[in-house]
Amino acid sequence: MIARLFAHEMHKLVARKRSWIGFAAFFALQVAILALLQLPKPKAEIARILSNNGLGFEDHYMGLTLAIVIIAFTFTLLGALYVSLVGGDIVAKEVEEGTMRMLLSRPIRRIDLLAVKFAACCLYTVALVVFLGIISLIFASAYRGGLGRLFIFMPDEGLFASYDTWTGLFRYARSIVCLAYGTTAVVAVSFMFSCFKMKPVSATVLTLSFFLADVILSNLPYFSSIKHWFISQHIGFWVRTYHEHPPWHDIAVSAAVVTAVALSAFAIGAARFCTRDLKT
Amino acid sequence: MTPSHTPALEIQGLTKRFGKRTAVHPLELTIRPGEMVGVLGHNGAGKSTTLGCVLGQVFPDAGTIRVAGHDVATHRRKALANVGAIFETPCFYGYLSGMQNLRAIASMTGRVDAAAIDRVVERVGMTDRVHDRVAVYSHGMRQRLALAQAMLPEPKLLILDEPSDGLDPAGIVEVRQLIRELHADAGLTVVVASHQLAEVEQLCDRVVVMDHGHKVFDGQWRDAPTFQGVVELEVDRPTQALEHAKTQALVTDPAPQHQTAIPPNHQTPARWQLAPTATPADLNAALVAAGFAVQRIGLLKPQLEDLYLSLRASAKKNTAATDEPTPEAAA
Repeated sequence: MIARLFAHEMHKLVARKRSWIGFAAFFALQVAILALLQLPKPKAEIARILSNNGLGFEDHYMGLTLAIVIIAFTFTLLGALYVSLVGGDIVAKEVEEGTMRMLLSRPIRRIDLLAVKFAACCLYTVALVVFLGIISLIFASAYRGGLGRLFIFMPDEGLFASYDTWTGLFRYARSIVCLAYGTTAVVAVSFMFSCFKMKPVSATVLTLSFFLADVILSNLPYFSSIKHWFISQHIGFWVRTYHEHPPWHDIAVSAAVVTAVALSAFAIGAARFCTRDLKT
Repeated sequence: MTPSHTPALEIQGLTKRFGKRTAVHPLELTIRPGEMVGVLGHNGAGKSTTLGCVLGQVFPDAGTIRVAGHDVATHRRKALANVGAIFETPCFYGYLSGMQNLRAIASMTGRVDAAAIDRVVERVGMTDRVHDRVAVYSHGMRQRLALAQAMLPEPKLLILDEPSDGLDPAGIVEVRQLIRELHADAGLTVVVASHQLAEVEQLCDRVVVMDHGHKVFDGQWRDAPTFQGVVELEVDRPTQALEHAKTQALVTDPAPQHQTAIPPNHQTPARWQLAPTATPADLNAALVAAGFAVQRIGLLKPQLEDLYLSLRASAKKNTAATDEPTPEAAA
């Protein structure tokens, strides 16, 4: 029965136009970024960074490097927006539109319904991130005529690395999986707010506010010694997988924090929803 | 298998509060299998809250609710397995077709085969349009789809909250006919909560009237004491006629629950309470003998509206009496 419920939940999710906004937005954004990168000035800027680091432009300004640039700069904000939009809708929208009352007049436990909805949200998040990862790579490679070498430079993370094509491709795929996993914390928090008595848009706005506040606080210089207290620092653990020798212990801790946040958010949301009166 | 003597719905001591306001005062209600019961009440009377509690959507503060012998609070699955319900505004996923909605909703109950869905769709007359998106359905079609989902898979108890809300006159008749057929053909127990007195009057023999969370009437509405021994007549000089009838001991005080002892105009008939031994014929003879012109006379034909309004009037009077400060409080 749970499998059947999950299938119907996914069907509802993919049949809704709103669910595709994220895919369409990322698609459009990537086209825009690649179009802008064709302009002489941005191209020269990238060439300057590469040559300053002793790296050849033609080898490194290729599909893999560009794909990482696109993901790093687009997903941080837009990704959170689109997954929280879906997570914020998943329960609150059904309550608002009245379909939840109809569902709950059926012999189904609320917790089962929520578990199915939560799983659908997580699967949606993974699909969105993987989609982004794949089309970024396809577009960037098509634009530059190949995958090339992977170059990544993130001073804040102490990250400076260059890998050959196959190593780079493996690392890229691994980082996308980690990014997808980290993003489930965002969708879980929006799911939690969605379970409370509020409008879907409020759940989305609260989620974004929560994570933006987290990012702002974690970047204040006064809090650098307690950076690891902030969720956003753990969600971004995908970047650390690009280190030549990835800090696996730190990565495992961050993955555990993400898991704990997601499960806690589900538990809080479920506890609230399962004790709520649903009435027009 | 549930024995036939097990009530289809049994509510004992149901109480629900929202903050300081008590929406439902301890409520007792038993509905036998196969009954069609109307639940009446003004907005905020507690009808929808009660039905919400029956469906496990609202958590009671006290009391127990059993559907076909199964406690809704502790055995939700078993209790609701045989219940179909529709609410005031039929809500569906507009971006899915009617058929996809039915499949999605039916999947919450268990495996429902395609043939069963087709049968229900045919029964509610939606075969031609069931593959269209619900977003393009009229209100009447949504209501029919709501009935279809409530019929999956073969419930024994049908709970209809305002089934005709928002429908045009033709739609109201259509839905009413459909409910009648479902009741008659499938032997369903039906609970109809509605503001539409005419609808309940035509559908149900038994009504439950709620007022401010209290059950103020429960029974066969045509047999209500309100209608017993009430005579309806058109007579000239009604004030004098009433006085004469009282002196003849044919009429007691005018029925307090009927507000038309002395009609305000010629279009409204007077309603008087006959003395226990008197008949309309006795009254007619006495009035004619005394020179009053009686245009029309007869026992009052029961109408649900009369019962409802009289109950509302009594409830208001009781509320006013309760609200009056006691001498101790005044002191």
